[in-house]
Amino acid sequence: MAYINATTAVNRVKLVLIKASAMAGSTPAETDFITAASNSTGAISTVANGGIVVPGLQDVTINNSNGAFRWKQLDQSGENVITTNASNSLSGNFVLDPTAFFGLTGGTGASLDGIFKLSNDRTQVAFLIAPAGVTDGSKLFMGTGFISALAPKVSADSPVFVSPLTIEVNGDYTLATAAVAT
Amino acid sequence: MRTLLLTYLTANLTGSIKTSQELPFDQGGNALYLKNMKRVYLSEPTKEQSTLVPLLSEDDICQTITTVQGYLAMDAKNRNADLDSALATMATAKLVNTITDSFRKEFDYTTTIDNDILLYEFEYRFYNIA
Repeated sequence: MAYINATTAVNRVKLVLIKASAMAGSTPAETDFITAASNSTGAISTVANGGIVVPGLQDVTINNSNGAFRWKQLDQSGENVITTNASNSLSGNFVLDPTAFFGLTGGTGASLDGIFKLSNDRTQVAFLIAPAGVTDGSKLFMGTGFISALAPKVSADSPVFVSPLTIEVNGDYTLATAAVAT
Repeated sequence: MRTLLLTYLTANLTGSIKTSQELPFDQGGNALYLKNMKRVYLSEPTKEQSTLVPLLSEDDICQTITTVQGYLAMDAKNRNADLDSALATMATAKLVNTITDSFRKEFDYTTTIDNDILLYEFEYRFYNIA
């Protein structure tokens, strides 16, 4: 059985955020987020549109939860079902990096604002999540949405700030194949 | 770390129980702290690194645990009148304000009796973000 391996340096999960207004078209494309990456190391060399490569990710969940409409018929013993519009969201937890969270002085776009301001201002963002890295041929999920559920927390046993992060996805995911890495 | 603890203990153990600046080495098969009773000996610190916050990237956030072990030998038959205050001072030493970068500080000790010697083996542990 094959599996998505996210454990090697080349295949680390990547999450990139930009402002949705920075997209070239109406749907997100890989080049809206990344313009260069390395096939040998898996590192993103150049981020486009002032993107934030979210650092310190602890876990990521890609939610694609279809709704269901069920009905019964007198001629059948079991219910019928049809799926309806999906609730899509991307969630996870990350360790707060001051630059990514509060913004980069002199940055542009999303990197200037930082994750907190993007959430606080309810700015629509576009995201790219690479479950097995960004090397050529890897699958990418992209979409637009809004950041929610920030809740930075620190405790005596875990003295670095950690926060959940949810991107409420607006519409469908776009599935693509990575192609900018060399 | 050992120096800071020793400085605090030397200044605050003012009764019959005092500190030794020497390391607790063995001489001819006899530990120095068994030979020089009523003296607190601190060993060299040992460090251990472990993952504090695991990340999907390779740069996990790690913690370093610095451990300093100590020894104090006392007469097992006649309890020293300064023992309680000395043990309290040793426990308080973990909070010495010159150790500033630890997010958790721990102290504990065990006692053993061997012939006429009551031996306190104690341990300080300091947790830092690596």
